[in-house]
Amino acid sequence: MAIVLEILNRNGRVQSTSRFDQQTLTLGRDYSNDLILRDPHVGPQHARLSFNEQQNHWQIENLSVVNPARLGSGVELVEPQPVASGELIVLGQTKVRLMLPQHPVAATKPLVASSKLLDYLSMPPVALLLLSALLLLTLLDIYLEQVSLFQWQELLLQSLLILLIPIFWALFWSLIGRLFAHDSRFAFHLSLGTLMLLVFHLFELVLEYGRFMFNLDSLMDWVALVFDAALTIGVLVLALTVATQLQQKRRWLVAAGLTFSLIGVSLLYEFSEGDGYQSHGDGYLLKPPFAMVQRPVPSDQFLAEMDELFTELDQAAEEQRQDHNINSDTVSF
Amino acid sequence: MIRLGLLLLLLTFAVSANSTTELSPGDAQRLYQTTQGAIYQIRIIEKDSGNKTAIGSGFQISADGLVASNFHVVAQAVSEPEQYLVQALRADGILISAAIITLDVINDLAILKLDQAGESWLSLSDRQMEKGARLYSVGNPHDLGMTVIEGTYNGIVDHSLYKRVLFSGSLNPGMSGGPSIDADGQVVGVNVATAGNQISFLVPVQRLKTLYRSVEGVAVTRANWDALIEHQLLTNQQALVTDLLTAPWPLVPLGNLTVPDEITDYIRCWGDSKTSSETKFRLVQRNCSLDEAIFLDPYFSTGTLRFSYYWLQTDELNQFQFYHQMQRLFYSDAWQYHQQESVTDYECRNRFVEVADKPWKIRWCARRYVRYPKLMDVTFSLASLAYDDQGMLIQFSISGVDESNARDITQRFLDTLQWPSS
Repeated sequence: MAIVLEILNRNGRVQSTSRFDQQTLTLGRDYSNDLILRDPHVGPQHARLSFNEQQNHWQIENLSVVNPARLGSGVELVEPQPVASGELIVLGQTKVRLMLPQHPVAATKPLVASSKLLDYLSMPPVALLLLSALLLLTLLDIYLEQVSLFQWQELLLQSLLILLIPIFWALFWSLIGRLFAHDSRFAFHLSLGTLMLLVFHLFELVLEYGRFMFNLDSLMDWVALVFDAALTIGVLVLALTVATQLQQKRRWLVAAGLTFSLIGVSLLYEFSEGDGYQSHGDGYLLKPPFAMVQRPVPSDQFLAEMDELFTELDQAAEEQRQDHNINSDTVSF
Repeated sequence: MIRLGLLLLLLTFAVSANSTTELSPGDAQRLYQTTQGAIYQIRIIEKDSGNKTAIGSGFQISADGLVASNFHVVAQAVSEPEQYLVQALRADGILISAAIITLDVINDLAILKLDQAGESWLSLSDRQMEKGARLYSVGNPHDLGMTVIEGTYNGIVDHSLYKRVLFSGSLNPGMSGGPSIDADGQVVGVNVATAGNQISFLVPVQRLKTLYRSVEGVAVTRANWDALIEHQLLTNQQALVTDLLTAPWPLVPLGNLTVPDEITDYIRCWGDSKTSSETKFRLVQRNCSLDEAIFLDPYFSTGTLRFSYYWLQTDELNQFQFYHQMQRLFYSDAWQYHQQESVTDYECRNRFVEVADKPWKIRWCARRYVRYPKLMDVTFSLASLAYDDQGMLIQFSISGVDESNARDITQRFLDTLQWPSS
């Protein structure tokens, strides 16, 4: 009668799985045992498992005086006790789970898209392809913004600088990976870093056109913030998945925590910059006429809509008067 | 004072001595001796520390101890009366407390009342001055002691809105608020500003007389000047905008458009153009402005108007490149420094509008004055979106107008633009 024994770590995760075909087997720290447990609190011969043919079940018997073995349910082993498939046996600090070959297993999980993506991104040619795409986009950018004579040095410098970002990103995460997951996966991190830059860059472009086309600054600010946060969290979760052994929930927590503290710090920085000069926002964008999707309105109609703006200004002025204790009572003169 | 201080670097300190030949050297001396009893150094004292934070000059104009000076000399005591007080230092070294009686922010004048009236005062001239007449300016430059400076009356400044007197003599910081007197010892103007190199400005005495008549016999002090200042600013901007709106608005060609130019004689325009093979486009530029600002505090002035045109044209750039270049010039020039409590942040609206039968992008921004909430600064930027290879950018800013004038002046400006060659 075969039996499978799983050694669990303190978190209850399986550390090793062994299958035995004999009827009797011993567990302990001694090298003569069938299952050797490397736990200082386990005796040289700690317990014996044997198959009771008459009653057709496995039973466990304690052999140790120090830290006697017991069942996971807490039952002390005064005499041999039957153990069912899936039951835990506690030996010292170690937990061993007994499984019979007929024990049902969970349904097969299909490969999830993200893990396919992870494999795909780990291929060096993909990393190179993405890097080339980034380089191309940078060059296109420079070309479209080029209004004076072409300067090779500037072009070279800009391209190199942009390529350094994913390379440093990949080096950093490889180091983390080596430390925590014993696997550096440089190509994967390079792909991920490059992909991130590409997506950010493309999104920035879309957003610029969005701002120009729809004339809604504050809405676009929110769209940008939400998108940037979501993308950062996503990228960090992927990087953490590969570079660490954190559980899924923890990965999301760490990624979200990092992202929101970054956003928090940058917002704080923005608010604390009260130096008297005010930039007028990102509204000064111009695109070629084809991007003008809304019909132009007559100027008097546009100016008639300013009442709402005046009301907003009234509120802002009133708040500032209260902040600075300025008396707004109208005094006759 | 501070306004003068800003121009300090430009100043030459040589007191005019090159044109005194036709006068007897005793004139200035005689005038100084007869007038010095009526002239005071005005000090703004910070109450907690007891130190003076600003100095200027002033002169007694009535038997009951009314003293004329500049608004900008006493501005701190006007906006924060609980923190600052005004004192006047007499020629014999006695300090006398003074209270602010009335103000004229538009003409930068203030009238104070001394707790203890002096025995002499200056009379205000009724005479029409001739260009070239001798003037003697008295004040206390840089806290160095009372000084008299000889110079020449050169009439009202050309192309000016607020009609300052051009005084060819060297006013220096600290002389603000002091009198400029003619050879008979009568006040012709109040020292107010300098542009260095013996170009100095006086407020004509008529303005002071008008202000003096409004308080003659009534000497009331007040705790809150905001309402009075707002009233003066509102009245002034109404007159200014009405004058602008009724002007004929001469047009000049710029690129393919015709645009408003020197709308009135106090708005001056300057232009330039450049073409270079390196930049692959042609730029024609024109800036117009009314630069006579009204002082409100050292970091806050109002009453200015400015508009700029940039015409761009290219044969080489594609539309993305061309509009990227346009974008570089599409901004607002309203970057004047303001203390946080003077104004709100700008609120802006973007829109595609139709102007001169073509589509344009407009970004229209305004901010309110915190102390004078009926007033606001307006700045808008306009970019044409009619062609792939040519376009016009316009920046327009006007400060210190009310809502309806803000709209009216914008509307008039937009309505006046024309695209005749299309």
